[in-house]
Amino acid sequence: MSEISASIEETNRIRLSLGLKPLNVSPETSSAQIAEDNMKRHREDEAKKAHEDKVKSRIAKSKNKLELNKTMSGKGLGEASDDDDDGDLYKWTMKSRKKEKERQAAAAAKREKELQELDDAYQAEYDEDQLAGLRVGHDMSDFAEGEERILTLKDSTILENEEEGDELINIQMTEQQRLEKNLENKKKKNRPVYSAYDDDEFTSGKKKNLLSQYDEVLGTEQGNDGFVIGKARKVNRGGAGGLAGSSSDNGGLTAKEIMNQKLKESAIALTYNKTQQAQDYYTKDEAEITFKKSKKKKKSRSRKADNWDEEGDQEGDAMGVEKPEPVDISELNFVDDEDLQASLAKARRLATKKTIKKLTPEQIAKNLAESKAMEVEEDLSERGGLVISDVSEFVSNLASSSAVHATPARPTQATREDSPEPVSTSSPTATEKAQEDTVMEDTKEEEEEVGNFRSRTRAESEEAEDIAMKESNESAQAEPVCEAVLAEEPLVSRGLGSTLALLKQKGAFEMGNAEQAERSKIQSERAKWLADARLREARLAKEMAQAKARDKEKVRDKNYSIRDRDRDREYENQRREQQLLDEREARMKNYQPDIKLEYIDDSGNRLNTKEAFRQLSHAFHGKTSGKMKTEKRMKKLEDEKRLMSMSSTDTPLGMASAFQERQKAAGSAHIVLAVGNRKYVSIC
Amino acid sequence: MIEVICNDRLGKKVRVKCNENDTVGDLKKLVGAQTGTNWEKIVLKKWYTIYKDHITLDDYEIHDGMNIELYYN
Repeated sequence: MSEISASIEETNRIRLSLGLKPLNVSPETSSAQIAEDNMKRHREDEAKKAHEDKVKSRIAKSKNKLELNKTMSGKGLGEASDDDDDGDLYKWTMKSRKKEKERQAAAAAKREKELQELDDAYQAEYDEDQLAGLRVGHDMSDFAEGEERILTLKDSTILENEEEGDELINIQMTEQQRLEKNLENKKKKNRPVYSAYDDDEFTSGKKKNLLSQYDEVLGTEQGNDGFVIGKARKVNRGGAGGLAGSSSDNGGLTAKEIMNQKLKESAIALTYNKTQQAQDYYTKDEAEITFKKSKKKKKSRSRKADNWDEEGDQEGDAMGVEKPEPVDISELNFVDDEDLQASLAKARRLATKKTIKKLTPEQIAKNLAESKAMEVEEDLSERGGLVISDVSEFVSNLASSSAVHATPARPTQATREDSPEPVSTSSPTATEKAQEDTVMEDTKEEEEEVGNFRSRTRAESEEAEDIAMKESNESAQAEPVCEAVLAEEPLVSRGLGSTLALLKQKGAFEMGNAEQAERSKIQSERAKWLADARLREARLAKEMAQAKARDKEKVRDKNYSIRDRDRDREYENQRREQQLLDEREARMKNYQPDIKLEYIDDSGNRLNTKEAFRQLSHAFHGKTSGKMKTEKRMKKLEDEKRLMSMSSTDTPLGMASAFQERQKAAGSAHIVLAVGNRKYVSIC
Repeated sequence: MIEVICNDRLGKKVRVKCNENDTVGDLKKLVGAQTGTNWEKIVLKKWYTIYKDHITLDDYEIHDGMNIELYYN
């Protein structure tokens, strides 16, 4: 497919004909390009800014570090101080106190300076111009030239204040005025209202008002005319100067002032720091002020010659205090608090006294009795009674489990011991009688010992008797069971006989089984039949050979025609065949095949019918029993195997051998199994 | 200047040079001139969007080298 395209010129021509603008072929100045440029510039700017920030932060960091280092310079807490005697407590204390004082002084100076500044600032602002327009509640003539008076704002209600504005008064002056007035009033009151003489007129120089005795109440307010500070400025000048109150106004200091200053300097402040903190360390002077030391204390002071003491001594020397003479160390006690020690000692003494008192004669008697009882107990344990030891515990545990099992063996043992003559099969009853007797005797003996276990032992003995009878019936020459208690197991390595014996012992191979007997019978019959068959075969072969020989002879005979010969041979063959068949029949007449179907699983175990069926079934259906069932079966097999491998002569824990060892150790033919003081049984 | 390829998939494929600020109508006129068809019969499409005559290529975001479907009515 061809693409239709036009060149720029052609397109432009077409555009011209269509009335469109020509193509703009100039390099790209599109908005996209501009945007890109902008973006680029913006990015650059940002990068630059980031870089600058980084640099700035780095500078700041380094500056900070420098500052930190500056603060960190100098000696740290852990480092040694610049003084060489840094171990000296006294000097250190002194130094630290000095520092503290300096610090406090510096702080005080600073505060003072601040206050001063504040004052100055205030003063600079607050001069007499500020007071212009304020009313003073006193007469101008009340203020003396050069006198310093402190004026305060007068107490007034809000209404009054609104009406009159603020008013300045001097408390002392008002007080004085009031006092004067009171005195006058009193005088007036004391005086009768009317006096014959108009003395008042002359004395006070004032014309009396009408009913002037009542004027005094009003008079208090009448008296103070007051003046306004700003208004009477010129007149007030002297007073205002007094108000400003600077001694520099007066020029040089007067003698009185100098005296005043001197007195001030020598003044003793009666204030003292009530909340004085207890300090960790007192210098000797301080210590003397704060503590009253007893004479003894001085004596018992530690001889440790530390610098504090030396200094103190030196000071003491300087002050004329006698030096403490050397004291015998043995006399010294290194105890700080005498009183405490004394009280402790007292307490100790009291405690000991108490314990001693407690031990009354009764107590002693009791103690004695106790000790005696202890001795008695020890004696008892030595004499016999109940002694619990490892062996006794072991034996007592054994007794409960073996009491029943062990008894059957005993009577037979008794028979062996008591009647050593061999027991004959011909007279079983007699031997039984004898046995019974011996058993009875034995049990009687036992009864004498045991006492309270008569019935039980009797029953046991009877039981044992029965068993013994059975055994004797089964086999007259049966070995005594006692020997089997711990007989040696026959070794398999010795031979087939011993192996058989072992198997028999373990019960893996039973003799005299009915099935086995049957089988053996069948086998013997088969063997017989086989022998018969072989014999017959041999006879037959012989006969055949004879017949052949006869034939050969006949062949040699000339008279013997071919036809005859054929006929004869045929006959002969027939006969022989018949004979063979007869023979076969006869042979099979009493043929009993020995067939035993045996199924054996993968691990070589013989299977019984059920198991064999299961195996076949599994093979047929192509599935086996589940995990649990399989495990169960395996466990069963394992158990059987273990049972087989177990020793048949002893218990798993080797009890019989333990008994034997015990017997050997005890040197006796029996073991006494006892629980507590009751003897259960004794076995060989 | 951009180049736009218009294809009707019937045998005509036109490469048209135009300005970005040309309208779709202008483009149609150019296509018509190059292929020899009446521009009023031309329909330019992209999927189901039919481009309208009075709107510029820039507004439709038609850039250099783009393919536009060419139909006729």
